[in-house]
Amino acid sequence: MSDAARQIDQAGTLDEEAGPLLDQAFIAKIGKLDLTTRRLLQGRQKGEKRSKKRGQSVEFADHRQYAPGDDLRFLDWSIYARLDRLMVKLFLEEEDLYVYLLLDASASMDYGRPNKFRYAQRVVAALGVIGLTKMNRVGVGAFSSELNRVFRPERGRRHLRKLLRFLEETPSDGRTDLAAACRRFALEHPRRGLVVLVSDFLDRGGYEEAIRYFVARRMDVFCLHVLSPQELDPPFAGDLKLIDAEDGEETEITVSRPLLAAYRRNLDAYIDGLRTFCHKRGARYLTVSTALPFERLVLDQLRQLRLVR
Amino acid sequence: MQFLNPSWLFAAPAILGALVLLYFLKLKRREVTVSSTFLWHRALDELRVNSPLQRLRMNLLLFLQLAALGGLLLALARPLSAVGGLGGVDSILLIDVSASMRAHDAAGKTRFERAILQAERVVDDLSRRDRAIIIAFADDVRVLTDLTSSKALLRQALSSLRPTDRPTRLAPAVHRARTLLSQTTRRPRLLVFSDGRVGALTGVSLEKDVPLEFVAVGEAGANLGIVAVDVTQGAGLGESTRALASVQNTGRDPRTVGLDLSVDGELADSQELTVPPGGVVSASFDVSVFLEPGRARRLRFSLDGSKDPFPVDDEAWAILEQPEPIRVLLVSGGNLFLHSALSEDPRVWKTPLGDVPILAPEDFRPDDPSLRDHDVVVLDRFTPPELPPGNYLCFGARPPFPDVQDLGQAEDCRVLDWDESHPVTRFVNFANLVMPTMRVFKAGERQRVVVRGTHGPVVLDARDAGRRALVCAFDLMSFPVEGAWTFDPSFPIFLANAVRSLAGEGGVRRGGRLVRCGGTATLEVPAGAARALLTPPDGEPRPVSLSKEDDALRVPGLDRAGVYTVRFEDAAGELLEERLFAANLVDPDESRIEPAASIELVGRPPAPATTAAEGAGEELWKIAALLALAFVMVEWWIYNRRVFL
Repeated sequence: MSDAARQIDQAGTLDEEAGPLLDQAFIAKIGKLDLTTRRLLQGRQKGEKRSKKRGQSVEFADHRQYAPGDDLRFLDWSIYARLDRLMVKLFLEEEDLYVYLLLDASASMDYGRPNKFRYAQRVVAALGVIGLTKMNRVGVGAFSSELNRVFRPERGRRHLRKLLRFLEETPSDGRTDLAAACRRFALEHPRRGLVVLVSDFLDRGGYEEAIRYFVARRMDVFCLHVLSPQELDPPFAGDLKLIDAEDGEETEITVSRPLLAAYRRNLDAYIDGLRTFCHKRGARYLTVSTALPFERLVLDQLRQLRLVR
Repeated sequence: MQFLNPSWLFAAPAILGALVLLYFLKLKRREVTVSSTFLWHRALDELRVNSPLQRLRMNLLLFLQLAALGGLLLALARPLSAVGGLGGVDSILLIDVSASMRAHDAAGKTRFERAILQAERVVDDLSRRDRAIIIAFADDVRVLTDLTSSKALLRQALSSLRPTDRPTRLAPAVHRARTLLSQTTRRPRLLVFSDGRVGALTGVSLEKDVPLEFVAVGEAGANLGIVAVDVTQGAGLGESTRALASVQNTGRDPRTVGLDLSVDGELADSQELTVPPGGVVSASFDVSVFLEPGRARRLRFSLDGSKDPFPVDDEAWAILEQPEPIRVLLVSGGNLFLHSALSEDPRVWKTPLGDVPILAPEDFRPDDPSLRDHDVVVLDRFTPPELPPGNYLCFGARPPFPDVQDLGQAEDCRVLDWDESHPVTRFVNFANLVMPTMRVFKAGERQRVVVRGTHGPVVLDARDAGRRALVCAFDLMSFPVEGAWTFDPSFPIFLANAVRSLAGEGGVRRGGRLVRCGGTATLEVPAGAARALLTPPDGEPRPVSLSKEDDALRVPGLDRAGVYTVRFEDAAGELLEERLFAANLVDPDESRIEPAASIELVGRPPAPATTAAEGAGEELWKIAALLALAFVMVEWWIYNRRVFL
């Protein structure tokens, strides 16, 4: 048995990555960041967030490409007349932002080295810290086959500790049912806002319905697709019995180069399908390997995608 | 390409099939937990790995394992290359044609036939560069061909071979083979097609670089055989003719068998013998036949009910014929006892008047050529100055031999002891021999004292330069009238023994010119014979050459057991005389027909018996084994290095 296979046999536990989700230095570093959204979102009270809500601000901020679902009232007709392009005007409005962080806590997340669930926990924690620090309303939902735990939207740094404890205490278990969990979360949280869905999207029922629930409610959706290096490049050899971490289904394979190639083709197709689905619906998407250091994800990748700034 | 052990190839489909079958069986697979299997399902569906053919086609490891197993099976089958190397091979085929090769197996085929079949296969397998030579051996060696690559010549030589009734001696054949091998520069090999009963191989060696292959033929089996034959013909003094035969049992169980004796084809006597396992039992027959001059009788011993696989030794033959009269010349000044005793001896030739030829001592001429016509010359109290080569019986005087000295005369002498093993003492009692006077002789160390007396040798068996003399120290005429030994029954017996011993018959006549198969028969050629025809037991008459310098006919190379007939004819083709002699196997070693397990020459490991000759080509099993090893190593490397198809 190769070393890699031996590692995978142990299927990744959180013990090796025990420790605080975020250390103080990193919290201080991300304290200067803020979450951004591309949609006009409505907060409940004035806040530090420059809202894009119309009527609430007259300060023009920027243009962006029109996307289906945008309010036609914000089309910049003058640009359309000059350039024959549909652009939407973005206005700055200082308003609190609803930030919904959805954490996939199914059994399939508890896999890989580094562990996917731990990685997702830290991402959610970082985004939550950023949101709370910038006086946004941050709500967190942990789901597997259903919405298991919910952190009601809160505002302010005083909820930092509570948020981190919530995340620490969230276990990873059960099957994934993205659609049911998202539907439930969307019903319970009707206010529009930024939705960050952190998951491996390994759901036999598909991801489409889940994302549609938020898109339909005009949420600004960001899908963070977390995969482990072992899922991207399986280190398998020989005759194996694969056991599904969620439902225990057994699949016998004889590893060969064509089989691995077929697996990778399917994985790429799956990722491409998810990415295309998101883009078509105005949602942002990022695939991340847990091999990528967490700090680089937050400080570089998410910045480039303008989830944070 | 041929295989020495093709049975592994026949088993290959089953073995390789079993390996493939193992792949279909549920393996004890290593369990690995993954986040989800549905992507794997899609990959499997894409590859359709559930199809067995697809699965096999794509599984390099299985192919490598099949290749490794195939290589191993190939190695076990011991393949031979079609050619024996660039220089070719010189094969020497030694074919055993001895009597034991006539033993047959359960299928009715003789060992000889099996050996020829094996040899023909070797010839068939020769490549163009190879050469071979056929040598037949029994107790002699016959080279049938030169070293040749002509398969036709070799096959012809093999088909002309016939088994003989001779015993086996491999040693001369190996010596001949060594001589041949020393003259070749090619890769040599020596093949012995035999049952392994090849006689003593003490001191027989072969170069170590010459492969020796012992192609064994024959099945194990018990055998009853006649291993000794003898006929003793009575001396005419009340003794009858006796025929003796010994029967050997080589089996592990005691056997009871009937031993029949036939005379001229008619059953004369029969005995039932129980022969212990590994033992020999002898039987003696009294033969009462009337012998006529010029008519020989054929004695045939046969085992009744032996039913063994080796019939050659179940029969033996002997010839009985009236012996030739012994020509005796009495040189005496007058001796009633000698004259009477010799005249009464039926074996002694007499003149038409019924007398033994007598010559006065003063008429004796050593250079008289007629002396050669007499078998024995009796010198009574007479010592000639010299004696020509011949046989002499001396009484009361010494022969002119340098190492027999006469020291004078002694009186009142008695006999102390006598040599009972000497032919002249047979049935003779010397205890009654009391000598008033006797000559005192001093004999050299080479002379044999037959009877020893109080004053030295009484009877001496002396030999000197082609002359033989039985010297009696006593004078027959010196005995007193009362109690003289000459009146004792021992005297005529002693005289008859002495005459027969000097005539070369040892007191009894050796019956019927018994010769062993493979030996040489020697026959006296009658005067006037111009040619001779030899008729073997189962063959056509063929002429044999007569030597003019020698008056004896030697018939060598007696291949077949049985009665041989020699017909002597004069220049006009008229029959002069017909002589018979018998040749028999009578070899206890040859009658042990249990095949040997190996042949061992000096200085090299025993060559084990094989059932089939290896081809002349080089064995390729090492290459096949190396290939199998290479496949195993590649398979191991791929398995461990994650190199996939």
